[in-house]
Amino acid sequence: MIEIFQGILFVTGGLLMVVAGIGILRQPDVFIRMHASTKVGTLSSGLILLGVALHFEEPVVIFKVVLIVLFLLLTAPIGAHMIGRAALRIGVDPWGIERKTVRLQDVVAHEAADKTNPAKAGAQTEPDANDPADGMGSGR
Amino acid sequence: MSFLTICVGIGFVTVLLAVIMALLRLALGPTLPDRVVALDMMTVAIVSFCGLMATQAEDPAFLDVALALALVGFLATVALARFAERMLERRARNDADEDRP
Repeated sequence: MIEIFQGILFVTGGLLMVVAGIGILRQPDVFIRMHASTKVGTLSSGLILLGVALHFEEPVVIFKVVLIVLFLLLTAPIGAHMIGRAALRIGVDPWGIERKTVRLQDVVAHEAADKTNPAKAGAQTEPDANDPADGMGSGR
Repeated sequence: MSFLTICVGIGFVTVLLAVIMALLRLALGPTLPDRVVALDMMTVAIVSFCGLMATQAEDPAFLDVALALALVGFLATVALARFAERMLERRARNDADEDRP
């Protein structure tokens, strides 16, 4: 009985992994592709590892599986956030959106120029006051 | 051939298919973040591949491989994201240095 449940977990996890692969291959934009790789990929590997824990039924194996799944659940959003922020700053345009505001790469270029050239800082930072990028730069 | 063997085989085939699709995106990807996302996805797929391998070989030692791979994969993703972010600033700083008399 437990074997059937385990097999269903393996097959479901594998099919969801294919869904994640199709998503990462066919979606139009890096920000949309990230959804496929983080959410669906984490879910399917969690299902497969749950099947492994059911197969062995030892406390050490269950501990390791819980550790791996916990680690994947913790790190997938952090990694996706960092890649998404980097992509936005590099200047990858989101799919289907016309940029109306200042381009973020210009803002970053201004910030770097201000750091190295404090004399010109006054005039250049003021146009960027309403730009959403201002809050993101403070963490560095 | 039991039911579990067939299911593990299906799992192997599907996970490998996902790895191949991520590899295609890694080769095609127009920008650097695309490639980083594909590499992240490949890491997650290979972690579940290690789980399936542990089941097939009846050897829990493959789970240690999966754990180490999850750790290293996260570090690689963070490092590449930081690299992509810093690349732009470095380029801007170099331009500013060249402009200065």
